[in-house]
This record gives sequence, structure tokens and C-alpha cells, in this order.
Amino acid sequence: MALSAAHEHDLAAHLAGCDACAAEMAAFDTLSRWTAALPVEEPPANFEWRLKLRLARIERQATRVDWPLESQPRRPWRGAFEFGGALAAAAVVVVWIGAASWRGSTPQAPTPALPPAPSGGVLTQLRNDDLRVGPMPPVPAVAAAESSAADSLR
Amino acid sequence: VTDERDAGSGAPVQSRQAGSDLHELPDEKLMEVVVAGDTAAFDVLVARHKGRLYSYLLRLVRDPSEAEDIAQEAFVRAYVHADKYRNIAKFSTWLYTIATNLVRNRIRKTKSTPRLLSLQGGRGDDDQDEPIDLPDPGDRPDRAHEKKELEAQVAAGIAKIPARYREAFVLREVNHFSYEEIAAITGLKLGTVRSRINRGRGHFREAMEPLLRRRPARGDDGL
Repeated sequence: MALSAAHEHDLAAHLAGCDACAAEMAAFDTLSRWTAALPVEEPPANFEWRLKLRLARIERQATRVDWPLESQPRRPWRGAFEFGGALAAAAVVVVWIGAASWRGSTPQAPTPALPPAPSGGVLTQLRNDDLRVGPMPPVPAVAAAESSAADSLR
Repeated sequence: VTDERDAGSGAPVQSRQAGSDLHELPDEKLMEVVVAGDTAAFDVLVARHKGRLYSYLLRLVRDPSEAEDIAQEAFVRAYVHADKYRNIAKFSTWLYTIATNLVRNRIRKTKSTPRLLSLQGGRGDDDQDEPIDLPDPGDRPDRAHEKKELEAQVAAGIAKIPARYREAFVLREVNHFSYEEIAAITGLKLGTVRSRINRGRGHFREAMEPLLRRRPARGDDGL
């Protein structure tokens, strides 16, 4: 905001002839010098240390929360670890559901004793207890065949 | 020292420099280094600006701990938003804009606090009309002590300027920003800045009148 040369010349001419304005100008010059010479006030000695602490805290939070995925360092074991965790969680859920459904379907009355299983294949060696279900109804086709075989023997 | 190229200008960006080199860089270049990830550059900026920023804030809020808090917050925000800084304005203008807005926010929040002064009211200062307690120069022959006393009186005179004018006055008379920079910092129009600085000067002169009468403008007042 400097005056143009022409205005500066006019001002100088006016101040030379006007004591009041000259005094006012001198006063403002003095005030300007006083304010310009005010010392810089230094903040407390631990200012920078405190600031560094705050910035470090912000950096840590940013690393934990806002760090964009693409800028995260790649950890080779991370994928396997995540897959294993998911698998374990799924296994726990499946076992829990199975246990819950088992408790809900188990009859309260004791299962009647079955006659000894006939010798035969693997399936026939399984007991109803092992299958955790009630006695199997006879298969109609098998029952009819057994009945006709008995008749023919007679 | 690694020599990388700035994507925009093609100019070399020294992203990792020895501390002594950083001290030679201008503020705006240091900000580029900060954005590139070198926090040491921000330490240099803090060391460079903390004193003048704190002084400015102290003259606005007149409470050392409040001034320190705001200065801290201003630096934190400058750091967090470093990537948003564009080299079209000086770093100092950007930093003082943040700080000035923080002061205004605090004043809005704590209007009832007597130590913080409203920027809205022209006569909001509670001690507006208190006379300045002037030292008698004749009683204090020690020049250093006299200088200290004068500085205290000038600071007290600045504190008596109504807050709405004090902001622009301090930025101009104490921190020596240009009118255009003050307009950018305060968000005011250039004409309003000019008017506020002039009004601030008038209030300051009024507050300092007794001291001016005792100490005529002789130029050997130690300041």
C-alpha cells in the first residue's frame, strides 16, 4: 500500500507546512516502530515435545484405522491365517448347530433293545444306537421277498 | 538424499534430506517434503513459525495456555491436512488462516469467558477504558528495564484494541503481513481489511496517547 510518487510528493509538501499533521505522522511512526520491535514471545519449552506426542498419536491412529488397504504392507502369512480362522469359525458353527439339533430330536424314552444284528455287510453291523435314530422300518420289497422265500421253503 | 521428480512440475523433490539441508528450504518446499512422508521437514516448519504464531495468538486471546493450545491445534491441522495445501499461497498465510479460524471458533464457543474477547462486538472488552499504568521513565535509569517496561505498555495498548480490529492490526503491524495476505487469512475483503487496520491504529494510538506524551518521538526509546 505504498503511495505513488506524486501522492508522496503532495504529502511531504503538506506535512512541511502543517504542524498538526506532522505531529500526527510522527506519532504514528513512533507507534509503528514500537509495535514492529515487540519481541517474539516463545511458547513454553515443551511445546514441540507435546506437539510431537500428539502427531505421533495421530499417526498411530491413522495406521490402525484409516490406512488405505492398498498402502498396507503385504504379509505373506496373512491370507492363510485369515482362511484358517474362517474355517475354524465355520467348524464351530457346524458343531454347535449339530449339537443343538441332536438335543432337539433325541427321544426322551429309552430306545428299545434290538435283537442281535444278523451277520452280513458293514451296514448291518451298525446298531441303531450308533446311527442315533429309531428302529428302521422293514423295506417292503425285501419283506415281500423274504415272505415268498419262506413260503417256498415250506 | 534421494532425488525424486514432482509429478506436476517435474521439479526435483528432495524427500529425504539431512536436517541441515531442510533448514535451507523455503516453507512451501518443506511442505512438499512433508507430503512425501518426511516428518523432519514439519519439525523445521514448527521451529520456524511457533514463536511468531504463538505471539500472534497471545495478542488475540491474551491467555498463554489458550494461545499455546490453539498454536498446537493449528500445527496439528496443518500436518493432518498437509496434502490439501497447494503452493498457490504462502505456508504462513495458510497456517495463520487455520489459527485465526480456530480462535474464532473458540470465541464462539466460550463467549461468556471474560478472557476471550468477542470479535463481533466493537466495545466488547471489559477493560476497554482502563488507563494504562505508565512507568515514570525518570525512576528507571536502567535501559534494559525501561525497554521491557515499554514493551509491556505496547502489549497492553494492543490488548485494548477491540478484538474485531485487533486481528487485522496485529497481522499488519506486528506480523507484517501484506494487506492481500491479511484478506486471505481473515476472509475479509481488501477494503474491510484496510478499514479495520486503520480503526485498529486509531484505537491503539488512543490507548498509547499518555505514553506518547511522556515519550516524544525522539527515536532513542530503546525500541
